[in-house]
Amino acid sequence: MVEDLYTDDFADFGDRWSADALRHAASHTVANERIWDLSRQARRLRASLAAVGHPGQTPVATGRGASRTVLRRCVRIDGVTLPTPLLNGIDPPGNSFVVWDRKIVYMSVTKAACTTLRWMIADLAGEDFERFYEAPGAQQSRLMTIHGTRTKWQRTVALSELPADKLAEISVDNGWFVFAVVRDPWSRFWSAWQSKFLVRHTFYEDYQKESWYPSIASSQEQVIKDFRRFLDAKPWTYDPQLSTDVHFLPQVYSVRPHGVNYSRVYDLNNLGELFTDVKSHLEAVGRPVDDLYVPRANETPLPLIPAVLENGAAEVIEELYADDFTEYGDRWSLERLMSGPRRWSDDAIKHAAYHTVANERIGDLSKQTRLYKRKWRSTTLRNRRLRQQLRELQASAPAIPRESQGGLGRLARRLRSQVGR
Amino acid sequence: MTDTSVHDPLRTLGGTRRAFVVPDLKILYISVAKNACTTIKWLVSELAGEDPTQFHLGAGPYVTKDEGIHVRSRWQRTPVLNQIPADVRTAISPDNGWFVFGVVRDPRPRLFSAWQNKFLMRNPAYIQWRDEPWYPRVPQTAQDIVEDFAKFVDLLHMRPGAPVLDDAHFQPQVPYLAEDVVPYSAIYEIGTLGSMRADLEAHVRARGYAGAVRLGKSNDTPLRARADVFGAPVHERVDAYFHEDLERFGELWDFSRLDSVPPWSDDALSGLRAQIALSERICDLIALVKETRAGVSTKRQESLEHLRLQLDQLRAENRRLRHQVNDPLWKRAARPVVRRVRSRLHR
Repeated sequence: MVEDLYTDDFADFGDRWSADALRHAASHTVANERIWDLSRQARRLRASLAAVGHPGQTPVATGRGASRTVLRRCVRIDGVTLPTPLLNGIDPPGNSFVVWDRKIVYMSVTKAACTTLRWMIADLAGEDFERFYEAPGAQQSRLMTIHGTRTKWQRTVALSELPADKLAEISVDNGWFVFAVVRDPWSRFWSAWQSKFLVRHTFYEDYQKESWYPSIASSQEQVIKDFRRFLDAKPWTYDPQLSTDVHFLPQVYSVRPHGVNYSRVYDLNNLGELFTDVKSHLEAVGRPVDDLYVPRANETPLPLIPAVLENGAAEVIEELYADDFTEYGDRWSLERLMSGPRRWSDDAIKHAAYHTVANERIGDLSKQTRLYKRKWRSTTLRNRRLRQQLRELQASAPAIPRESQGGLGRLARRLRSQVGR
Repeated sequence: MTDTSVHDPLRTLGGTRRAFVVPDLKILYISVAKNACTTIKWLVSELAGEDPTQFHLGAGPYVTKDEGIHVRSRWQRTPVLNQIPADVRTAISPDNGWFVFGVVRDPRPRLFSAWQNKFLMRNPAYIQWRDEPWYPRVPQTAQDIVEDFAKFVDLLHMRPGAPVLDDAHFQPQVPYLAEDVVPYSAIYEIGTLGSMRADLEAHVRARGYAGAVRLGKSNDTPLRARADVFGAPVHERVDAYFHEDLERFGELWDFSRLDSVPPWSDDALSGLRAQIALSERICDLIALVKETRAGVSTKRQESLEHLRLQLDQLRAENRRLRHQVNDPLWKRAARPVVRRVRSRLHR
C-alpha cells in the first residue's frame, strides 16, 4: 500500500527501508485512515443530530450575513416538546459566564464591550469586586481587572464547568437569556491594536524589537503610519502567540453562531437595547433591578477616524475578517465610520502618550507583584517541608534533655541567637 | 551667624536633597518642586554621568518610570552639599566659574499643577488623604474641577499649617531657593527653560563636555491652569498664601496670560479620567507589592524559626548520642541525679 503511494521514493531509496519499517508505516497509514473515517462519521452524525433537533434550520439571505441561520427550534419526540438545547454539538465554551439564579448566559467577545458586560454580569451575580481589584496582572485600570483569572469569580461559572444535567437545563425555551455582543471588525481591530500595542500593554512587550512595533504617540501621522506598518506585516497571521490571540481572531471564533442557540447576538451600537432586554428578562424571572452596573473602561484614547481606514486599510481588514462579515456583515457600514471627525486633538495624542508611560509602570509593578507571589508560594512550600522534617525529627528522637548550663549550653544559646538575627 | 556660615554659607543647606552638585562640570542646581524639576534632574543626571538604570523604581509611590529620578539616594555621582569637601563648597560661586541655577514659576499655576498632579490625579504618594473633605472627586465636568480646587484653597486659607501643606509642592518657592546663601548665576522663569538649557550648554561645552544637552518632556498634568479656576476669592487667597514669591519675583508673571488659555476639551477631561483610573490601578499594585513582600518576609521568618527548632533538635540528639558513645556507665547512670540536683539548685 505504501509502495503504491510513494513509487518514486521507493525507486530511489527503497533499499534503505527495512520490511519492518514498511509494515509499521503501513499500519500507521491504515490507522490514520481509520481515524479520518471515524472523524467524518462523527461529524456527519453530529450534523444529522443537529438537523433533527432543528428541522427549520435554513439560510436567511444571500450576500453579507448569508450564512446566518435561524437555529433555535424546539424538538418534539413522541408528542413531548423538549426545549432547544443551548449547544449544537459543540463543547461548552469557556468564554461563557453563567448567572444561574438569574438565568443569564453571556458569551464574552473580546474588544466588544466585554469589560462593561463582565462587570454587569459580576454585579448581577453578586461577585465581590475587591477580589478583582487584587489581581496582580498588568491590567491598566481597576475596571480592567475583571479580565484577571476566572478563579476570582466565585458565583459565576463557565458553561464548561457545569455538569451535563445542569447544562441540559439551560435553554432559551426554559426562560434563559443567552446573549453575545459583536462589533464591526474595522473599529474592533483598531481598538485591539491600540490597547495592546500603541499604549504598550506589558503582555505584548516581547514584540518591542519587531519592525512593526509602534513608537510612543506623538502625532496623528506617526500613529497612522505605525498602524499601517502593523497591518501590512500581519503578524497575527504567522506569530505563534498572536495567531491564537482572541483580540485579533474573528469574532465568530468566540461567538460560535452555529454552535450556540442565542436569545440574540447584539451589536455594539445597540447596547441600549441589550440593557433594556436584560432588565425585561430580570423582571420576567422575578429578580428585577433598578439599574445595571455598566461602567465604561476607556483603554483606547484615540477613537477611530477615517484616516485610519484610508488607502486600502479598510479593505485589508475586511479580507482578514471575512468570517465576521459573512455572519454579521449586514449590520455594519463603513460609510458611517468614514463620516466621523477627521483629526485627533492634541489632548487625545498626549493622553495616548501618557497611557504608554503609565502602562510601563503598571507592567513593572505587576512583575514585582508576581515575583513576590512566586516567592511567597515557594517559601510557603519550604515552610511546609521544614515543618514536616521537624515533626519527623521530633518523632524519631527521644525527649530532649535539658540543655547544659555549662560551656556547651552557652555556645548553643549563642548560636541560636545568631541564627535568630 | 557663625564664622563657618560666613565663610561657608552653603554649609547651612547641609544635606538638603534639593541641591545637586556636579563638581567636574562646576554645576550647582537647586531644585524647587513643580518647576520642571523632573526634566531638569534628568538633564543634570546625564551631565553628571549617572547610570539611568539606577533610577528604575521598586514599589515606590510613583506613576511613571521617569519619577525614579526623584529618589535622591539613587544618585551616585551627584553629591549634596555636605558630601563635598569644604574647600570645594566654599569655592562654589559664579566668580569661580560655577554655574549655579534654579527655576521659579508663577505660584498660581504652580499650585494648580501640584493640586492636579497630587490629588486630582490620585498620586500614590498622596492617596492617604483621600478621605479628607477637600479631596477632589473624579471630575465629570470642568465645573467639578473648579469647585474642588476652590475647596483646597479654602484649606490653604483657613489652615495654612495643616499637615498636608507641609510639603514642598505646596510651599512658597523663595525659602527653598535660599538666595541669602546660594550665589546664583541665574534664576530662570519656567517659561525660559530654553535659555537655561542654552546657558548650561555653553557652560559645559567650555569645560569640555561633548555629550548632548537636552531637555526631555514630562507631561504629568493634562489640564493647563485657566483664569476661571482663580475666581474670587480663590485668586486673593492664593496670592496671600504665596506673597513671598509674588513680592520677590512678581514682575516676572502676568496673571492675565491665563485668560488666553482655551477651555479644557472633552478629550482632555476624558484623558484625565483615564489617567485617574491608571493611577488608581498603580496605587492598588503598589499596595499589593508591599503586602506580598511583607507576606514573604513573614514566611521567611517562619522558615528561620523552623530551621532553628530543627537545629535544636539535632543538637540535642547529637549530644545524646555523643554521651551514649563516650561516657562510662557510671556517668550515664549518675546523669539524671545530677540533672535533678542542678534543677533544684536553680529554683
